[in-house]
Amino acid sequence: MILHPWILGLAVGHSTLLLLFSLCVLNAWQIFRGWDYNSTGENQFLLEKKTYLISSIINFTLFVQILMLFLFEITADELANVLPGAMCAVGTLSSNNYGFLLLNLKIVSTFVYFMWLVINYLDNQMETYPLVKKKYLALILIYPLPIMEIILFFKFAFHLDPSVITSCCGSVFNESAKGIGGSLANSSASISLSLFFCVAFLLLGNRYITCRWGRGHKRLGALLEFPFWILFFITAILVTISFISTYVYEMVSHNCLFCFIGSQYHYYGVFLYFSLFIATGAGMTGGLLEMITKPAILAKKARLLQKKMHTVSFYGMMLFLVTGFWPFIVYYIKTGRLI
Amino acid sequence: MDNHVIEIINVTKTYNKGKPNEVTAVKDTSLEINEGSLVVLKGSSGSGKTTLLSLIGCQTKPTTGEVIIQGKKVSKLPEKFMNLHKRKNIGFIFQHFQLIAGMSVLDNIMLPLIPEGISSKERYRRANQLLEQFNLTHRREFKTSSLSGGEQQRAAIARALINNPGILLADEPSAHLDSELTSSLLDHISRLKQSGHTILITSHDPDVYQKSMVDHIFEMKNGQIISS
Ligand SMILES: Nc1ncnc2c1ncn2[C@@H]1O[C@H](COP(=O)(O)OP(=O)(O)O)[C@@H](O)[C@H]1O
Ligand SMILES: [Mg+2]
Repeated sequence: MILHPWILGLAVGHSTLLLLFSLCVLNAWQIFRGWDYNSTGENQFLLEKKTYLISSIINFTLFVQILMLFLFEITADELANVLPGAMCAVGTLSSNNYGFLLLNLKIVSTFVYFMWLVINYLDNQMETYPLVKKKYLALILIYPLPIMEIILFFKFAFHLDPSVITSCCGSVFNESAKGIGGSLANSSASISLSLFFCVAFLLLGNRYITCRWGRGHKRLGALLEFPFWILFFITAILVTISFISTYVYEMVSHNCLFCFIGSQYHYYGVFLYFSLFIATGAGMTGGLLEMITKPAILAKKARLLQKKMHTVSFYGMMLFLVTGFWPFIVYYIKTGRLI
Repeated sequence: MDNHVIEIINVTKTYNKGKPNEVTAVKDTSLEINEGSLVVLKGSSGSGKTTLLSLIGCQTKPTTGEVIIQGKKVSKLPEKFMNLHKRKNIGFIFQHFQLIAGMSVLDNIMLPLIPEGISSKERYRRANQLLEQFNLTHRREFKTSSLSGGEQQRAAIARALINNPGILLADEPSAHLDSELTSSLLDHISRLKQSGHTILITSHDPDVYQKSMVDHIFEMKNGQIISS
């Protein structure tokens, strides 16, 4: 299985990216250790040059790492054709213990990488490298993510066995199935819907209050966005399993998160997940940016960027709501009843 | 009155550091230049004049030390911001003029404005004004390779001035000119000085540095300023 072209492609991709990442982390360490902004000595000049190079390489690396999440999904979908019993990506991912673990890890790291890229972008807009030490320390601290990704990926790839019959999405996301997929599908739509809308109103209400109230609340409100958006993402997935999917497939018993990504459903899932990822990524980053308070000139730029993130996350959320509830509305208008 | 537009503090510039062809072109040099003055940097070939000029002109960064232009520590700036500062504040006339041969005089002169995102109307307005000032209007659409030496020289000055920089740097501007063109060049430079520009030129031509309008002469030898 390791020789399957998609797996091979991902293997090469992951390895190359890890190599680049390691190179950057090595240099990041040197910069972190040796940085002395006030020095006019040779070493500092070299580090200043280096930071420019490293930040360009890591921009590329992390950007492609983020793309790898989508490539991984496509790969899982492609492999469903060769694995007996698989209907879509779910079959591939659940054919061994590592598939979903890797997917979940990749989702987490995608958000982390995105936040790092935004912080790097902010730092590069400044003349005095105010975030240099912090951002490179952060880079070193997130280094375990790509390492775990590659380990899980190879474990996943080596344990893919075309002679073993895997489960299909029909059984993984089935109310009678054991395991997390089953219990998620089993949880009633009304519970997940109320959770989801609670979080959404919490987010919007928090924003409204933050806008209206004074400074003290402003900071807390903005910081709260970070955990709120994580909750938003999780509840959005719950709603997708228990509610949205049933109306996309027009079938109560089918709750798959992956079947609707493909062409049979006009790439519905691409739009759905795209809006969800954009909203969550921008939203979390907006919260993170609130933590930047000094120096004043940097904080000012951070607030501007934060405003943009707020706007993007708001429209992302709206897009998710429209995309997500569109099938339900259409179904309701057509038939005049719920599923 | 201390009004230094250019300040160089303990600057060293080493090319090809750590390689067999390592050369220290500027050695632990300090220098201050007042606003509105005309300064000449003289010295034999290879003494480091061009290197010092490019350090001041934000063309390159020092190996150690500080370069401060109009109060801004440009040697500490990230490349992007250093270039920004350069485009705003510095006009550079290269030793061999470095006009782009395949382009017209007009396009050569307007080129520095392109990265500034200035509207084309404004670009043409400024360029036409300079073409007139330097008596090049009739050569507007000519390729620069077809110009005479004097015309090339004037086009190079016009290009250096299009950003309206406070500082003008010229690297051996008279090196390839006959005495008549040299004196016309000095006329232009004197007029620019009167209009408030700070000017720094390198030269080993007594015709240039012995002029009365020169405020200061620095002499370089082996990468260091030996007299001023
Ligand atoms: N880009 C470069 N790379 C390597 N060596 C250089 C470079 N520019 C100048 N040098 C060397 O630095 C020394 C000083 O050169 P330069 O600044 O051009 O002096 P000048 O303009 O007074 O003739 C010379 O020995 C020259 O060979
Ligand atoms: Mg020279």
